Amino acid sequence: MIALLLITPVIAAIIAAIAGRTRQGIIEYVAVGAGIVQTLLALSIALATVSGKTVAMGSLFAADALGAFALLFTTVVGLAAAVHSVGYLREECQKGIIGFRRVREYYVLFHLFFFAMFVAAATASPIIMWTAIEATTLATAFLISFYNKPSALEAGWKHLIVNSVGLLLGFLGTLLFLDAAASAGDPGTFVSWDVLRALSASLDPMLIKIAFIFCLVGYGTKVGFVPMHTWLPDAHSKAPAPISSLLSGVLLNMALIAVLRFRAITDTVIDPSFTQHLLIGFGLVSLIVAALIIFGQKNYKRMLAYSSIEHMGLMAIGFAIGGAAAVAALFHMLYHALLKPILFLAAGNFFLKYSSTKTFKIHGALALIPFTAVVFFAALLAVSGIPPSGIFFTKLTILAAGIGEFPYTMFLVIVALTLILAGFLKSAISMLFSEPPADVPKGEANPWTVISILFLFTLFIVLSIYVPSPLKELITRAASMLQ
Amino acid sequence: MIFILPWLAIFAASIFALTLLMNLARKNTTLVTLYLLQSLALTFALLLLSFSTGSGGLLFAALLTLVVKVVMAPTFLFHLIRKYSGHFSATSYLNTPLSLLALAAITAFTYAFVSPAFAHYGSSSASVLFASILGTIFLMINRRGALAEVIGVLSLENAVVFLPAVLGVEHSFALEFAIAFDIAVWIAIAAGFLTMMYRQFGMIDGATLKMTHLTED
Repeated sequence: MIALLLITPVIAAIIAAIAGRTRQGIIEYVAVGAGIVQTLLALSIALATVSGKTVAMGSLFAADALGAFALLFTTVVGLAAAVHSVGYLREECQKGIIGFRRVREYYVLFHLFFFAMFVAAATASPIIMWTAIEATTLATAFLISFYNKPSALEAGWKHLIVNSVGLLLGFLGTLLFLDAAASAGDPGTFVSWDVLRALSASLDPMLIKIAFIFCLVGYGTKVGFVPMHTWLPDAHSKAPAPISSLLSGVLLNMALIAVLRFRAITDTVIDPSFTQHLLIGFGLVSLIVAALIIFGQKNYKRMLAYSSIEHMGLMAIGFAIGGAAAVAALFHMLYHALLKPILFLAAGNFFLKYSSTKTFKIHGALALIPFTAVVFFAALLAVSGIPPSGIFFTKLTILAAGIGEFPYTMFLVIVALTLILAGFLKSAISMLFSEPPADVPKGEANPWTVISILFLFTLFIVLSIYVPSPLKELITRAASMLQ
Repeated sequence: MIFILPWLAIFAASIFALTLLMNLARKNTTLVTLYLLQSLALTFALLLLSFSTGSGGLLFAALLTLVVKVVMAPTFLFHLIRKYSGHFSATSYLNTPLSLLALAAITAFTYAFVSPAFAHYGSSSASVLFASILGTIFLMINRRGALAEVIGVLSLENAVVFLPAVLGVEHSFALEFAIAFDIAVWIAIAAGFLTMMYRQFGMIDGATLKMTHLTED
């Protein structure tokens, strides 16, 4: 299954690369088809791991419950992004903004991004995981600078440099973990997560402390923790909407999972309060900074990007608290992975309609694109934690679990979340409920840009009301691996 | 292993000294030459380690370093400098005396806080390489210009790769694959970006990227 999952995006990328000028339709249908196949494969891997088994391929790949969970939300968001890309790029082609060559480049990089993500989620090796996450940086750099405007080029360059430096520090941390393993015993030439866990009792505590700090700072750059977040708002706001949805819904979560895998090993070597305080510190600072910026933000895509930083911060706090909060944080990861792409894809529809990402240039969206406007508003409320959204329950659980031990932190979290809700409402009301401009035609761009959002939103509503027991079991197992 | 420790210390010190020189260099061609020398020092160090430990992985690492970092990357970068007439680098944010002071502070910090952590490894090379890592990060922060950032990332990677080798991590195939893949693809992508920058801004260095366009719509 893992082999099929890995080969699907590669085949799709090859088809996209060799397709002729008149074959744009084939590239699009292959992307959607690959998305469906990948989702089904990830679903079967997830079902296989629910019982506690690991789906392996050789010694290099072994998808455990956490890996399967990551594969599941990656493929679901990927399918929605593939569907949305069809409509979005067709619209951009019609306007003459891009040509067929750019569309082809887009799909090749799009599939390569997924290949790298699948490798990162399914590998048993920390080194291969690092390689794969680094590969996502390289694949997305050109996607962020897709429009070739000075601003997009700068955002792409910033993304490349900042993340490369960050990931090199993460690489150093990874190597220090391997060094500690080599000093503790003879792990052989291939060091997997299992080997690291097995040797954890004899790892050098001082070295592990330093290694974890490097991993946290390194992968934390990719997560978007403040102050290493500088690339994130620029990249999210300049990339095409489907790519922004992938960055936010998939990539940040994968990097956070990398941090958590290292944290699980670190906690068995040294006092867990060390990693707990670090995660709470980074999480809280990220949350507060994001809240302050969201409140005064005038660009709706940047606002959503800062919201991703906020949610990563909140998840970090949840994982740091542990226990029920860690399970809630994993559910939060799932809900955020569904909601944030909805918001970015809807933001893409605003951009297609108004050709601007400035909040003050969007007027009367409710009258012009009612579907997008309603879903955008509902998703904005849901992501803020308004009941009965699933995020309401995850936030409540994290706050309830942490209030006893960290009352001041939780108080600051509540203040920040309130500020964010106020910032969201301020922007959304001015965008949706104002008078529409006379020169902008009414109606959605095309059905593709509606179906993708509808698919994710329906899934989010269903999972907010009812979580199937296999998914619940998978998340519980994944959470137990992180503690 | 004990007999090669002085040599490893010399190579680590060379990498650090070359990092310091990179911070002082004003021409892009000098910067690339210094990077080439640094990669050469890394190659020799890895070769020495491979012969002393009999490690095939380290020998493979040394050969890959030679091909990718000593030959391919500098050739590519020299070609870019010639093609886009980017011989001169722009100024740094801090002048030379202040840059030297900052580098002295970085070195002092490393010896005060990092050395004790690696004391039981019986080698000062680790802390020298840590200072080199911080020095390259300082290079990227202090220098204006895209090429200095490229060299900074590549130089950082040199120090990062050498540090675990000094501490005794066996270089496996997966590790080597990761490093070679990263550097080769990274250089290709950075070159692509430099080309786009030249087309967009008419230069690849100087004040090319002030990040002033990010606020535009």
